[in-house]
Amino acid sequence: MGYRVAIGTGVLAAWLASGALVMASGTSAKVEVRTSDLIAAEELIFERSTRDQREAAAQLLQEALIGAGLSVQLQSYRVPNEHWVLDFFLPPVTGINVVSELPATSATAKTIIVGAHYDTKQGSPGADDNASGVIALVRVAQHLAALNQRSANVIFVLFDQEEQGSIGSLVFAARMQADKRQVHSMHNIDMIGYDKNADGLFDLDAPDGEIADTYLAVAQELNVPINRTTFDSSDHISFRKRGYAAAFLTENLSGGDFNPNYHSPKDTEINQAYLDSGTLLASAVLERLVTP
Amino acid sequence: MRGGLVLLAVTLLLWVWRAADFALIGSYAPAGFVAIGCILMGLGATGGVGIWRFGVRAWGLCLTLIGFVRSAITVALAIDPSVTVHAVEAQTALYHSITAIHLIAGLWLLINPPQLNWPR
Repeated sequence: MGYRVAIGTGVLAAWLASGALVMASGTSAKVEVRTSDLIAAEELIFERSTRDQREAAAQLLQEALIGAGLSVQLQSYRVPNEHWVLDFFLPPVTGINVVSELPATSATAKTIIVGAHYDTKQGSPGADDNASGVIALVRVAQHLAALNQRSANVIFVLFDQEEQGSIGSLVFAARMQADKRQVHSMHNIDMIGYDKNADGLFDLDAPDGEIADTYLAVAQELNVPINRTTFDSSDHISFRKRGYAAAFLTENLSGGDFNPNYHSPKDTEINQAYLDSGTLLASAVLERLVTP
Repeated sequence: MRGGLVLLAVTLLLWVWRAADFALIGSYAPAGFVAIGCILMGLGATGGVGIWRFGVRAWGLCLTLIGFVRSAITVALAIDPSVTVHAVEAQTALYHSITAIHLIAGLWLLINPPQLNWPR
């Protein structure tokens, strides 16, 4: 099963874990549900902080993205410590970014990056933070891979060590710059699985112009409530530091609907309907950005 | 005295290896440190007994301090391992061995600096 949403002239097809029918209540939206899940939340909700745990998660996610029909690279990195003084006492920091590039259907250098971190804080199984974002990213990848036409290359990255100082995304952003990639924008999905007050509201930190306008327009069409705000942490910051336009989609942290289980062993649940809504929004936005 | 020279050589080699390892990934702080160590040894070897002793003792003092800090990190992580996963995972047998080498070699060189066979 799959759901297909018509938004104006664009067409969105995305996949949901729950298998439940999701109706977007926008005037022009038509929804058809598909349950073709490449990764179930239960598979991913385990502590992913130590090297062994993160490697296991990276393998799992590699398989999920391959299942979406994408080629996947496990990009290992080895970098100095956060502060140079620590280089006198500790070994270099190591990690693995899970990277998958979906080429455009016509020749172009334009590249859009979609990212979510897969590591967790020590002791936390990281359901909301950030299995929710990872699951959304895999579904978005599956959706965009199914499009017949794409006018931009899309790189999906599951970042390592966001909880240790966004190390994985810092490394990846530096690599993009070193490779002189023409990055149109980066889209970070982090924590979209908690909505206690059930208002369905998401927070968005996006630069003014095309990116913010696209999010707001699509959200309005899908009738997904969205609140613009700013956040100075998470992986999108690594890209802004390099001068790239970067957007951040997250739950309504600014509105006080904060997950009390954040970074704790109790972070074991994902609000599926809310995750589906965020996935739908992200899929639609990215489809619009990559559709000629 | 020969043991002291062996310890000195081992510690310099350890730091050359560390310096190269970090330099390859863009951090030059260890390289700077070992360069200072080598300059001290070089000046000492050509400048006479007094300068040599000063250089070796300074190197020994640095090694001792680094060994203490490494030990302090181990103790701190034993008390509160939630600070950083990276530092916790660094606590391996190799880490502890290198800490021991720093402390032993550092104190040895500080207290009993080896002498070179100066030409008469």
